[in-house]
Amino acid sequence: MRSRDRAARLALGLALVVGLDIGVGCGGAGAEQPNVSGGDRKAKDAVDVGVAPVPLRRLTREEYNNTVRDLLADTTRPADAFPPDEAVGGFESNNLAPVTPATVERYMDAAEVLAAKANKRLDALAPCAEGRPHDICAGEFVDTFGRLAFRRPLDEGERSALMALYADKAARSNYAGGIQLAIEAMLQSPQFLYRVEPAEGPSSSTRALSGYELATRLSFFVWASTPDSQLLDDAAAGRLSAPDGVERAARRMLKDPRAVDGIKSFHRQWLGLAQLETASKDVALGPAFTPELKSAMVEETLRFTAHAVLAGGDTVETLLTSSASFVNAPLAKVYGVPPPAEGFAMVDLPPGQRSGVLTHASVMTVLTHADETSPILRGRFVREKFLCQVIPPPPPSVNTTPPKIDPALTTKQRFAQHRTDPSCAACHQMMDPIGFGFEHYDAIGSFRAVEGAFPIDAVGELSSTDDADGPFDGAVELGVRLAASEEVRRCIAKQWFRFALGRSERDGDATSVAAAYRAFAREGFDVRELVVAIAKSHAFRHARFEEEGSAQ
Amino acid sequence: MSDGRWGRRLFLRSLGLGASMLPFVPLLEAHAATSAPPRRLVFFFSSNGTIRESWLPTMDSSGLVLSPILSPLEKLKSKLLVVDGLNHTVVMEKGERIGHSAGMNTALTGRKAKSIDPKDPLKSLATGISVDQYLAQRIGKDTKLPSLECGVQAPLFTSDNVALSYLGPLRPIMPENSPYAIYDRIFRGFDPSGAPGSAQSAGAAERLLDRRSVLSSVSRDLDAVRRRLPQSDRIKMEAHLSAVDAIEHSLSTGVGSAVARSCKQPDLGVPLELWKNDNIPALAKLQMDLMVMALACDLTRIGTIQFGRAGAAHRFNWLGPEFASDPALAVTDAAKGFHALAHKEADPTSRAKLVKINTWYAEQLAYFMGKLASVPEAGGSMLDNTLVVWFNELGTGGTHSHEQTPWVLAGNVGGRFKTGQLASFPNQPHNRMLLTLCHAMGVDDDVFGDPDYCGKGPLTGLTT
Repeated sequence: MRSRDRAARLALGLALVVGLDIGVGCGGAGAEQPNVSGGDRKAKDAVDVGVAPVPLRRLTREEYNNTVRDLLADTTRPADAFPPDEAVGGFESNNLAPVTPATVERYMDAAEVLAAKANKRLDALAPCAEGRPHDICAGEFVDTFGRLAFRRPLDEGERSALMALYADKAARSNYAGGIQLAIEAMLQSPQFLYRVEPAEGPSSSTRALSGYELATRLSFFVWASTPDSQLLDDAAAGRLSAPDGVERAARRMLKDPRAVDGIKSFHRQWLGLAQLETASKDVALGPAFTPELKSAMVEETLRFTAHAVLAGGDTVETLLTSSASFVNAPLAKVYGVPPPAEGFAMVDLPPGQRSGVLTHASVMTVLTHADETSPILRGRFVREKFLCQVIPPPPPSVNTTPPKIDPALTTKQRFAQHRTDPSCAACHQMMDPIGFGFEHYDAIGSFRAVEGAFPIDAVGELSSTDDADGPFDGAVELGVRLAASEEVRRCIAKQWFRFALGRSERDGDATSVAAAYRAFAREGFDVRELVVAIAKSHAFRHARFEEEGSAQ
Repeated sequence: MSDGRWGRRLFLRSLGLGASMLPFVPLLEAHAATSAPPRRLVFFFSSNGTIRESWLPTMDSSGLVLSPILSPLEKLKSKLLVVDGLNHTVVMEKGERIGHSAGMNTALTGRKAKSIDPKDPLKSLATGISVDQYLAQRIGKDTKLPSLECGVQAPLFTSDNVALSYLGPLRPIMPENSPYAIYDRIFRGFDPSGAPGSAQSAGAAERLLDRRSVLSSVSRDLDAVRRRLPQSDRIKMEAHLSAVDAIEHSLSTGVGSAVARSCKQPDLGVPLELWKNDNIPALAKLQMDLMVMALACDLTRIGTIQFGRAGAAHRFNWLGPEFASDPALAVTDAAKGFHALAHKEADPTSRAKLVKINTWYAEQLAYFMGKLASVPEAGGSMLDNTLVVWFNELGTGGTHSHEQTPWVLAGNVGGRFKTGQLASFPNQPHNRMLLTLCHAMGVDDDVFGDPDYCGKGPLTGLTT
């Protein structure tokens, strides 16, 4: 029953994200029960068709940057100038809102700059030996580069349009000018900017992805970038048409250095690290909280998570319980360890103080207010990121300004109203008692034994879980408890699934999510095995189109 | 979802890229002295209907006696023309859907909305060009941007209920919610110190040709992809096509004709998070400041400032403790916030709040008018040559009523409008208002939108 409630809450959270008009509540005494359609587990299985639709996705800024790096060897990160990406279910996907003219202008600017730079290294990109007709060379370039940029071979119409563009410009200038303009056009084409999976067949139909579509999903999932030539060759040869071929491709990709980009991308988004880059609490935290420290915090977590995955073994255990991490000089101060000789190094942090990403300075800093710790944010973080449960927002009538800082009281005491006022307690019992377990970590994640005049009381309690309920003392105990929980491990598998599909799981995905989890568990919770299993899943390899109108 | 610093940084970078940019150089005051000021039109949208008895002003011998909602405009009331009684008749008589979305899609198009998702009655799109875009195509050719669409937390990351401006049937232009992106868009390639006559060079002409051929290739691809997508995704290609069209128009437009001395790039201050509910007042101010400068620099003459969207669920925490709630989720929850409040208009407490919210919008209009009035032009101010049209997607939010929609015309275009009065046109179709606006801007058409609702032509008695 409890787990069904949570599924309902999760569905509810998704509904909130997309703005549906449904009632919300946390359960418990006096609170309204969530009103969610879908019925019980059996009914869900009955409608499970193995796949739910994936809306059209536009490249995120990170994907664009990585893609032009791989296509054009450009490492200037031009997409950093684009407007922010839209995140759905915690992961950037750009799959809902249409673009504005300002964004399209940025695409034009970036394409022009990139094409102009490409013009300067044409010998590498579009060589044309002395004496060969330029038109032949241009045709070869359009074919090879076009295949990489559009992530499939060009069709005849596309090819001839690009050749016409080339020829027109080449006649006005020269070979290089024509190539430059063709690149400009390709980088602004929807075939490049969007991950197009056309609707085919009757309405409400499911179809297997083509090899090229699957190659595209795979590469943006595993590498956060565009497919390489080999992956497109796999697609062309039909090697991606069966799960074992997809598995071979995924395993090759996981051994490629680009896999680090994919792993880091997942953790940056899952753990909400982007919020740190824009956190505006510098003044309150004093001179110690410099931009250098902020970016070092992010770097630490990204390096650590990549290490946790690539070291093999039980990734979840490492993520949640490790007492070692990567630090540089500014971070060494936060953690109270000697600074490494240079740059970042992996070090053992002071014993008994740290528990994997849960207590990373990055995570602790994101989950605070400007001038104090926030048990609410920290508790909600655990509930949502590691248990995949969703806490609804407070009712509109509630004043959400945190209680005033009072030197005579501890943070824990100041938040007592949440437990005594029944209108707060229903939801806050889901968050605050977990958050209190983090009281040893101050607003930038340094370990503290006292808060003002009081010794820290970090006794917290987990509740409403399948297998992790009970009191605990401090985040280290919490980490061990979470790592031992199947519910947590299932949640992490779900988070990867959301990342892979760019949307939250829906009814139709249940079989795929369950299969991915089984493989994850069977292989000792090595995240690389989870990645392979998701790539092989039915949901990942199929497209579904729910409504269909006549083409206009 | 914070925006960060990319806006101005990119602007500076774009100056460095002068060679790849079409030089944009304003003509200076010398020119302005010899020609009449341009006519300008700005649409100012707020949502969820109004509370009519608190909105409707009266007249006495001294002129307008303002209502509680309009009270922030007291000092500017001689510049107001309040128009009462208009219906979205086309929606009432022909509409497939009558909710918020239908109002949003009919307000500036004068046509019924088309439902695009049989399973979701809220999803609809407009079936014709909107009046701002129609006019931009006729009078926007002389400026860098034919039109400018600014949002204040307008889209809800969905494709419906979002756009007011349409280039044609089902072809929305998405409003830009980032002031930093708007800044970039307006002032990209802008050289405030440029001298007349230096605008076009041989290189620039060649670049223009290049861009045209690239964009037409992009348009072809967009259309090809659009045809192959499921219905729910097609709007993404439509909006992208609109954006490409807008850029294409702006490539070849002129460089303005009447740059006021006040033309300068505003300072945007510390970057704001775009989707934080409580940033709405600050974001609104930035968007209004930018719109005024875009007009003052004569970079555009047609604009839209869109507060939220039809059925906006913003929370007006800044209006008092009774409005306070969680900012983080406010804009994603249609069951709460402004929209839910509008559905409880019968309840006196909610009603009082709705009056307060609408009064806040009037304050925003007052601010915007004040900024326009602060820009001197042709012996008066820019407010004398800019008509601001405050309108709503509904008459009453709670009942989704399309009757008695609230229209306020503010400012003027060359003394054409008889301001300082209340005009009533009970049960007249709002198409007549759209026609009135066309005529005011020098486009003397007989119909706008659905021709069935234009029979009596422009509203009578509003203009001299």
